[in-house]
Amino acid sequence: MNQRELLYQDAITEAIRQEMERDDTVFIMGEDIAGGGGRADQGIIDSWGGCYGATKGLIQQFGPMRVLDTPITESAYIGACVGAAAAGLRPIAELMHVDFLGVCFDQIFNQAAKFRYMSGGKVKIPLTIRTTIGAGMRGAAQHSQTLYSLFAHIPGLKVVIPSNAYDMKGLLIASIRDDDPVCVFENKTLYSSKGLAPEEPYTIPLGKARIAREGSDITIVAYSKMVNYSLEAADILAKEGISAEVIDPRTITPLDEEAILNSVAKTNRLLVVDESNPICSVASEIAAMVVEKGFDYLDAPIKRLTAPHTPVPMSPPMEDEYIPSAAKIVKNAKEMLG
Amino acid sequence: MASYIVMPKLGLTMIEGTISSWLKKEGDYVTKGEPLIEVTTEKITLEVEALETGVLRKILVEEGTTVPIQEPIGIIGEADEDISKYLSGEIIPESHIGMNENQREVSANKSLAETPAIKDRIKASPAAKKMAEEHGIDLSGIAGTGPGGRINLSDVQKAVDASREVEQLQSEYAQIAVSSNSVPLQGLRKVIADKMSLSIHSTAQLTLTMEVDATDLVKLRHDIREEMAKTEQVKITYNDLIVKAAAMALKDYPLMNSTLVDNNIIIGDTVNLGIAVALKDGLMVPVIKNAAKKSLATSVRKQEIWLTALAGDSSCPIN
Repeated sequence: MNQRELLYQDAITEAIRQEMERDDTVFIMGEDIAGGGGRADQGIIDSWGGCYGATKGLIQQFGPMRVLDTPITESAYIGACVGAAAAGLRPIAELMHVDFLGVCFDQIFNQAAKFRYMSGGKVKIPLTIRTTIGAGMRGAAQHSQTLYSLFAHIPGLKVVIPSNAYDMKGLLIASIRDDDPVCVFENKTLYSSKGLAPEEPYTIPLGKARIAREGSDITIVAYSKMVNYSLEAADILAKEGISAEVIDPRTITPLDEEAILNSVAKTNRLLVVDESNPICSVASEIAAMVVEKGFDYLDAPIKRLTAPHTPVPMSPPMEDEYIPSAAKIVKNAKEMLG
Repeated sequence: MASYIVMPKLGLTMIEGTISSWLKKEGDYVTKGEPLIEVTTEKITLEVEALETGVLRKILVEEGTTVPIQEPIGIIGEADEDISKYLSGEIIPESHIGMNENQREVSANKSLAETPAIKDRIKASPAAKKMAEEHGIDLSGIAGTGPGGRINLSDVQKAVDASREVEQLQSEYAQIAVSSNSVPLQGLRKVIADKMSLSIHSTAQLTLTMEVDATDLVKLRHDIREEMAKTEQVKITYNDLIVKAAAMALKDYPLMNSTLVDNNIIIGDTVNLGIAVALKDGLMVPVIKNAAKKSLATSVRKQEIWLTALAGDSSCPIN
């Protein structure tokens, strides 16, 4: 396939566009996603395509019936998407920041996640909810959280966390084609990162981890931006003679337990890096899974490196300190090998 | 919040320690990691660092006193904190939680002799334990190099390598034995070998080498030689005198004349003295029974009888 460099945000647009071209039942709803588009009659032909520009240009191609701007009413439009999915369409909802999920959580965990189960499989909800996570944009405590563990806790939801442009496109297409509700977590600080990806549509199976770097001394499991930091850390560790394996599971539910366990069997040490808060976190879940299923592999206690259990600070120096960094990953890894 | 400073466990077998000195006074500010006490164990004296930052509010155990490990020896806390509950025993140290009054009393009064051997839980990583099990390695014989002395994979790997080396050496030796001239261990040599190894396991083994002025010994032999030859018809040699002296010395130092049976040291009530004699076929040890009580002449006669019996062997140097 023809690989070329593209932005993480363009990988999103391309995945949505290709799926909308392929399947007439795919449509997208959200706040500002048409964003000033749909006014060709007024001589305005461009649109900004949502808060981060990920849906730029879609209104022009697919029109206002398939690219719908909504009022600031998350519960209403997520609910509308759940209903449309139950009725046979394949909706994509853009929830601008995961921080806003509180107002529409009932639609997600009581309605979307339960219909298939409660109807004995007669109703399926092929809904994709795209939302953003991540601190580092000076967005303060209500626009910076990394709340994927809340979704992973609910049976019936799939949780997808792409860390790069290639995975973004392949996982988003797989999510749109999936017949169950899937929540895709885009890191807002990665939108302008570049990666190689083919132009053609392709899918990456949900539940298949990527070994981002092979190593033999310690396994680092990380999601989203933490994958990049872990790779940076692995470079630094390599200079000190420590060979770190970096695993990006890419999805939490389903979780590629085998990939993590195989790696820990090889390295005997596990460091989980998670930008989320520590309590009842994905880091805790992975640590518990490895203790249960890979106890005999461990040569050191598992370490969780997470953000502290506090809201994300507004102050830039404090926010920088809040986020797990490559330096902290190096420090923790060295302590585990010490 | 205030907390107790307790007697640290500084070694696997340590059950009590003596405060040799406090490096801080009551009221001194102490930073975590700063040397706080000097502790003497049966093996060594170590400087022990403070585990917490605060003010040393109270010294509970004075210098020179020996207490069991985990026993509170002081109280650290804020300068103005109320520590009366610690002093009255209302707040008990963590090591005592779960004990009743009697047990606490026992724990406080336990001395070295009364304490049964403490079986420590061996700290080892799960992977290290599994590897040790697979290779039949006893973890108690391994020193852990991980945090807090935890045994990790590399420690077990070293033990595995070491045991492989031993096995290899053994098999090499076995091959040498098979390939070169080998003589089966049997008969007299086997008895000698068995007795020697029994002796090694059941008696105190030691060799002392010293130079002594034998002027008096020479004089003694010279003085009594003719007399003994006349009255007792025996010829006194230096060997005879040394046998007699050793028998008398053993009477004065009964622990040297003892045998280990099971876990008891049995002190012999008589001195039975063996004299090793090298013969061509091996080492013979004639025994002078009750050597300390026998007169010199009787002892000499006894030796002569033995030596005569052995005289058939021309290689006997004494002969």
